[in-house]
Amino acid sequence: MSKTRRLEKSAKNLTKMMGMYYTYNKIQAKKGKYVVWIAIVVPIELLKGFDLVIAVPENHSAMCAAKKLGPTLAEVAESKGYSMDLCSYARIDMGSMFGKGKNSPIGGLPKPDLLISNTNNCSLLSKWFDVYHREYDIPHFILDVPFCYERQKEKDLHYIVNQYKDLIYLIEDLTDQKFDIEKVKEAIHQTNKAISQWKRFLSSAAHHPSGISAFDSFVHMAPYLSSHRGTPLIVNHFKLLADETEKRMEEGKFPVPEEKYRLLWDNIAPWHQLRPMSKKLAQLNANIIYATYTSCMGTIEGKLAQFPLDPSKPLFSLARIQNATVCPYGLELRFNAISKMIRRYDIDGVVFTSNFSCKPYSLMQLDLMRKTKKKFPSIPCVMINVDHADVRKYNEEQVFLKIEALLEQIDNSRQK
Amino acid sequence: MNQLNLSNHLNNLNEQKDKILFSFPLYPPLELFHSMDLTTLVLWGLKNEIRSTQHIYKHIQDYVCSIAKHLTEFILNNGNKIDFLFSYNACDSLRNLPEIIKEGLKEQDYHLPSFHIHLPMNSLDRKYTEEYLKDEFTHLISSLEPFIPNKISFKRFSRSVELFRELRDLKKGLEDLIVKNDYSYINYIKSMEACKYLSNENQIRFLESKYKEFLNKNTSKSTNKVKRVILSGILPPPPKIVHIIEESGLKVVGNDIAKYTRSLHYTPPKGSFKTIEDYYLKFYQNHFPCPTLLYTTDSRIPLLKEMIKQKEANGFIFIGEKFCEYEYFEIPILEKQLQDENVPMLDLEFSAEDIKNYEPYRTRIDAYSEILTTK
Ligand code: SF4
Ligand code: SF4
Repeated sequence: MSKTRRLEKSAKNLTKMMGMYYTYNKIQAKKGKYVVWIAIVVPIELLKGFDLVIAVPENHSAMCAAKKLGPTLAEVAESKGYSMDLCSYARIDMGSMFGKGKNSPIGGLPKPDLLISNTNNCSLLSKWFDVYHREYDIPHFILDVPFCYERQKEKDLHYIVNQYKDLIYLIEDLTDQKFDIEKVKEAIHQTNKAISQWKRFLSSAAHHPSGISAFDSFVHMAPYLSSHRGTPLIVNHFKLLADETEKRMEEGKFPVPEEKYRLLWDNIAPWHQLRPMSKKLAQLNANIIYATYTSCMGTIEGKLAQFPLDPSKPLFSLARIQNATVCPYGLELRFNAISKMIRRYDIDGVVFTSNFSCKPYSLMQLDLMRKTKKKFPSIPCVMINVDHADVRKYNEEQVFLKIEALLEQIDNSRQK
Repeated sequence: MNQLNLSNHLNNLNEQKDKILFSFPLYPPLELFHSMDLTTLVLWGLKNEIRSTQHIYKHIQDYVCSIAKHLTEFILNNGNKIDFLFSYNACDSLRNLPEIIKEGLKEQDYHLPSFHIHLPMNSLDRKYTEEYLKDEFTHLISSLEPFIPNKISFKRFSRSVELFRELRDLKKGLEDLIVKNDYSYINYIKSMEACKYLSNENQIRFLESKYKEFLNKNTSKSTNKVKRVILSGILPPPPKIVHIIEESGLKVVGNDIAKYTRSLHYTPPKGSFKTIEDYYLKFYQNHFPCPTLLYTTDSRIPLLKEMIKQKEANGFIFIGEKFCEYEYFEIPILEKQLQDENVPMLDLEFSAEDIKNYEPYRTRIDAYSEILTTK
């Protein structure tokens, strides 16, 4: 692996942006601005129609996990009676809330005035937000999204739009602000631009060797899942990322220069293992070049291409894409997506990551894996066990034994 | 009556040429299926019906609740004996299962027509949510109609509703009688389980005979020393656990179990609905609060406190279903609130694996009983 720090400019910009986001939120909240905690799939663009502080607990948990603080925070929630079987994102963020920000790298999120969860990633999220609802005695709006086993139904689209309208009335009522649809249109416009840069960045994976590793995409998705979404800042960031990646490729610099194995990752990022895992893989000349998790951003129902939002129909556009972002859709749609990824990115092997914390993402993986093996008999697949944010449930040795066996299978299948 | 094994029962139903619908828990529209002449079996807790786990771990991971595991295994073993499958968005685990089961059956070259509705979860009192829910039912009815001999009619549906009302009232009445007369609560659980696969009419006959039996028995009145507890959870505990609870000097006086009270609590009153869709809107709007019905969050704890007051309960025993996030997210809050009311909670956890040793449970239950009695 190259000794130079990868994507240096983008990494610096990322640190700056995330620092800005957390600091700005704190300052504005202190000044008395209305604070909303949202689930990552709640359309931030819609909330841009108001002047709000937007905080995303899932994002906060991922950051804590990446900084190796997951167990410390989760234990606080566990000591309050929350089972270790519950999603680690929830336990970590609840731990931060109960500890009043103690041990969170940013001192926790500013206290919320309103909670907005959604049910399309999972309903667990609504139960998790209900804990805050009861603890803080503040309103909790549940954005109820029918699960897509197939293409989104027209009536579901209208149902979501109606809920958006309700949400707008609710925020107007709670904040005394007037909703500004023009700002939403502008945010949508920015999101369109940002996603096209993101797609340009991801497409560098098609090169041999790949211009990126999925770990790059895991790290750099963070600002999109914050209040930077829908602003020129995120467009600039993704453009910088894509430019820098392409430049490095032109210079012949690749994350795994001797790339021998091109792998696909299915599930949430293993936040506590980003560096060790990518390093260890690189030593084996293996690169996880692409991930279903980061490919979903800005797409719908397993398509790889960007779904352009229509700024002239802001609510409908956002509702149409409501089931996207982190693959909350059915088995057939996910299988189609994986099939396309294998072909387009010339994948040698698939790593299905069974995630103790996330049943919605993991429960269909055994069938997904079987279907993938059947359709692509020469592409070996493996299932490893990970908890995306709780390192206590991760066993590196076991995981790498399986990954090494996968690489061997790839070698074997090449010899046939 | 001896408990009927579900596989044998299915064979009998197949011989009688019944149309069989398997429904995922928790709260399916039973009256509707009944009025369509479908024999509906709700797949709660099939632990005793499973002889192998060959299908489970081929399709789902270990960290899933026993209900999801066992129903998957059962359906994949008996797909050829069933006509239809029904599910709704009851929880995250159940959400993924219809497609997983479809895949499993496809491997056996079997296609099972399956039906799914989305139950709105944000609030059921907005005009558009009401319309959405009603439309889901209109669609369900029209999807099922081609498969049934008679066209669905409101009259037939209303008759089914009355039958279910009678049945639910009987079940609630039997519980009251058993509790009031100091019989072991095992009698209630056993009666409920013994009739679960019978037709509604036969269930009514069975429960009426049970009711008479308990009415005519000589009873001893409860002593003031006995501490009263409520059982809560998705499934009832194994009878052996109830036995241990009672042996430890506690008396079960009611339940907040999804399979029992939460399912039996409410039937829209006669004359309060004009269409099937309307009935189900009222049915779900007024449903007994449950952690899986996300819109009932705010009413749940006050209602449980009310139940505790009404039943004069001193304690609350949570029968946890391992890996059920819905219940486990709520328990710490509930425990804290009940503690404030001086009602301690005991949290027992059960998983898909057979309980081989009840002694650890006994130790905890005895300790809990001591806390209640010295309080
Ligand atoms: S990680 Fe999975 S279970 Fe946890 S909040 Fe996200 S979607 Fe839900
Ligand atoms: S026990 Fe919980 S997780 Fe399992 S099926 Fe029921 S609601 Fe779902």
